[in-house]
Amino acid sequence: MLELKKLVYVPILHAREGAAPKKEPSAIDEMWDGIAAKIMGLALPWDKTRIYQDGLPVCGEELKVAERLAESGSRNHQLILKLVAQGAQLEGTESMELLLREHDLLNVLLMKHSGAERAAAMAQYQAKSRDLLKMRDGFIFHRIKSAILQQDLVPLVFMGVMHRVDKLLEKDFLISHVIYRLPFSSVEAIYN
Amino acid sequence: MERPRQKPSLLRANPVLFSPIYLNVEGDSTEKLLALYRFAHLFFPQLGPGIVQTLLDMERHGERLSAGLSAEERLKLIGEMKGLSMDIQYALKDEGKKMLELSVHIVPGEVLERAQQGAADLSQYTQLRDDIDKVIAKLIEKEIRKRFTDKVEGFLQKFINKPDVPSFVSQLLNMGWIDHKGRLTKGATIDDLVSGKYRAKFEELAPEELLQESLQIRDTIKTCFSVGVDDADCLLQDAKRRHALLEITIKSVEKKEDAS
Repeated sequence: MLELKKLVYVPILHAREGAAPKKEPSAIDEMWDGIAAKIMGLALPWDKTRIYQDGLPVCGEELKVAERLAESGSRNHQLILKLVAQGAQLEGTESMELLLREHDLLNVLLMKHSGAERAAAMAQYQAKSRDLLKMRDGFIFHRIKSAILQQDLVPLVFMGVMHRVDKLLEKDFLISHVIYRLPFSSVEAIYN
Repeated sequence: MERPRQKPSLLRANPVLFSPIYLNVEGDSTEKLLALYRFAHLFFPQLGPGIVQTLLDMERHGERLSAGLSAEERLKLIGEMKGLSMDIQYALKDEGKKMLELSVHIVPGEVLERAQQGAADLSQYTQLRDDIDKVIAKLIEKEIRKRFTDKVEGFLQKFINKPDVPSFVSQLLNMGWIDHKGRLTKGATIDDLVSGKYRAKFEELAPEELLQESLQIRDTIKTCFSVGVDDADCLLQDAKRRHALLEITIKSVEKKEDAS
């Protein structure tokens, strides 16, 4: 039987990561500390590790983009820079065209200010972004599969919880979810 | 005569426009709800809205029917249907045992009356969808709490089965918080131990690791399960956050293109 290649998948949350300075660490901060500790604990072969990140376009300037996002306070991207410092390589992950479409959808949503208008815009956004998310997932899946399968590399994938890339990848890879503490480890125990 | 079971209604406070809906959430069996949640997100990504949409379609269909009726005929039909109701049961079972039950209770006369008044608006649609999502999230949270209770009890049972019962376990036994099988007694909940009236004693007696994990779990539940099931404001904050990240990403790429 053909042995599947290993892939490390980290479901992430964008929400509730406040931009305002905080005196005490939030649950989101703790979550990122926990994820970082778990990833470091995996002792991956960093020189063979390829990082794929939700929202990072294939553009040739992936590291610079990650640096700017890390400077803006993103714990996710700060962790990525640490992993790059260990020797991992950051890969362009998403289609720029599809990300621009997502950006346009969000623009339309956020331009609405009154309650009723915004509620209507939210419903429209959710319907359209759902289809777009499927296309984004398809692109990411092919990107990872084509780059990794033929080489002796370990993909480390950071993906928002609304994405379903893991479901596409599971046919070709042995997925190991890095999930920070319960309750998500319970979820993992059930459906894995 | 059998007394009808009390059914908590999402819409009891303001049952307007939509057909009355009742969700049975009092069932004890919530096992596998986490798996169900995952399954539902895969196969029915808009589970709540899907149910609402079905009901809206019924309302719209009701409108079409009523449009073909004269006012007199409609009133006559409403009168003839007085007292008539219809129940649709959705039941999800695990080896025959009900895990989740959704009862849709329809009063055709009311549907016809409301169809005459006009279709439901989007804010009510959104409200109903959010209400359903919240109920589902509550069930999942209940299951997680149950699992954590099992974890704490498993931890305590290990000590109870040892020849030398540690002093903190003996104290919990003496105080009546746990029984001789390591189970929390009635009235002593996990919330009591980690954040409620017994917190000080629990902190004093329980190992630091267990206490920390229990607090973390509580915070994680609060944080993670509020995402996607909170009000519209939560969804909006999420959208703003993703928009801000995309703005930085796009500007970074544009800068590079301008330079070249």
